[in-house]
Amino acid sequence: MICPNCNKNEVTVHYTEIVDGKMVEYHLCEDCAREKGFALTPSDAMAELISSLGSVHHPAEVEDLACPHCGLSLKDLRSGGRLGCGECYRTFAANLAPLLKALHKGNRHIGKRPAGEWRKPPPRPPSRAETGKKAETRREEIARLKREVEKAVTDENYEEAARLRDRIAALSAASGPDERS
Amino acid sequence: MMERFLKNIAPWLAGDGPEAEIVFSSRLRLARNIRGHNFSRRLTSEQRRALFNEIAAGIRRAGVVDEPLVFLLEDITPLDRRFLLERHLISRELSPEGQGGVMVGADEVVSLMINEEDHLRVQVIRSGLSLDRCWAEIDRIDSLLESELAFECSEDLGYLTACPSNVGTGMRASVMMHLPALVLQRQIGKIIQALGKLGLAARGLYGEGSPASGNIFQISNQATLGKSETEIISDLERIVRKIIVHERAGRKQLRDLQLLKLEDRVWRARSILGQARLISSEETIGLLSILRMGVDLGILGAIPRRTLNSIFIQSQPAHLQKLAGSELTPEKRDALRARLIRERLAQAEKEDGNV
Repeated sequence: MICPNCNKNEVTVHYTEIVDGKMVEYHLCEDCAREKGFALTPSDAMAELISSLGSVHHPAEVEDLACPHCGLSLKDLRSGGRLGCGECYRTFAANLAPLLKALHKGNRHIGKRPAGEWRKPPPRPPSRAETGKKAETRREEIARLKREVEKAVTDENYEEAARLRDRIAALSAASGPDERS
Repeated sequence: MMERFLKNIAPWLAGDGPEAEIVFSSRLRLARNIRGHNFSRRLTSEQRRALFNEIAAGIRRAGVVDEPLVFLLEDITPLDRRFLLERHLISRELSPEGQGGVMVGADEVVSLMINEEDHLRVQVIRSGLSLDRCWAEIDRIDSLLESELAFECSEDLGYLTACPSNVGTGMRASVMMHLPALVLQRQIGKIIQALGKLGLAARGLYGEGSPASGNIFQISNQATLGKSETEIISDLERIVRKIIVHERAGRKQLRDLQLLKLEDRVWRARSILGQARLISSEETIGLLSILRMGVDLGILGAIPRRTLNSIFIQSQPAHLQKLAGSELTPEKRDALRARLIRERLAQAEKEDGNV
């Protein structure tokens, strides 16, 4: 559902008000809801947190990383503050790691589990000692690839641009949570 | 169907249970998703409808609630939705556009929201400081559900949820407290700050963003990952008990040092509630808070907590309109609210006098 106020964003805020004894319901996107001064729900606060943390810790990442199961992009995750499916936790593991660290008491579940199969965790990113140098070069490579994307787009070489973007996405997905060091 | 609830005082508002003087209620909520499906927001309406039926059938087979009542928000009026919200049976985020619905036990202790941001949210709510009892119940329910529904879970992160703030146990434990003395003595700001540092959050009556009207605060855990369910509960309970000690000390201090001022406040609240012809819900909740403290401190006669709690819940807008059987203008609501309060208080005091 698209926000009827701006006709742009997805509706995320549902709000009921009573005007002259009648219930009036509003369905708005986050921006319009904030503009109209409706109280923000925890979900909105979470979206803000996700988008701020992400940008601080991953200056070099790209926005077109997407979940192979549900199609949620990193951009969607940033703006909506919600994951799309269980697989997203693997897809965006590197992006989520600093957030989980800030929100919780550890990075491993302790407590009840259902019987049966559990999803496997994503491959452990190499430790900081192993990556100290590599992370640097990866970041440089991403920056270089981004410049090449721009050039390819200017040259209207869209196939090449798409190929480069895939490469950037793969590189970003492989980067560990401690990249900022 | 919903009229059944109207006559009841839900057990969480019975005003009994441990520490009921200061703790209204304890609540646990588990977030669960069905394996293999996208989370609710990334499903189409049709997929969500199908999932609703699948989950509802699973809940019935698991036999977790006797005679569950089922409400699909699409099928009920906005007034009824608001009524369920006021009774804490659904959240603000559950929406008709998202094919949200709820299954509720007849006694309203257990409710299961379907198609909230997570596929399933199980809630157990009880009067007083009863987190252990709630945990025993919700753990049993969750295990029963598990035999019928396959929940999304990963080896390292536990139960997977739409919001990363719920991942792990998927459990939010919260305790609703009445803290008038700490508010009057301006201690509450410091306490809320300290809670933040301890990994707990303090919110108003209806969750984040809602004002702390009636000196009522919900204290809940933030972290759901890296701590077990029982650790989360015992950490929360330990802090809640500390706050109770502070609130008691604050009340004693008010009574010892400023008795006349306190009595004046309480009797003024009693007079307004006993005489007003028009009263808003905001004013009601503030005055009820003072009245309740007056009863707790023995300043007023013994108005049962049950009565105060029933006024507290039934004076809300949707409850009044359900009582009246029709939608009402704000002014008519304020008039009906004033009448309801006058009658309930008079009746309670008459019964008290007869004892």
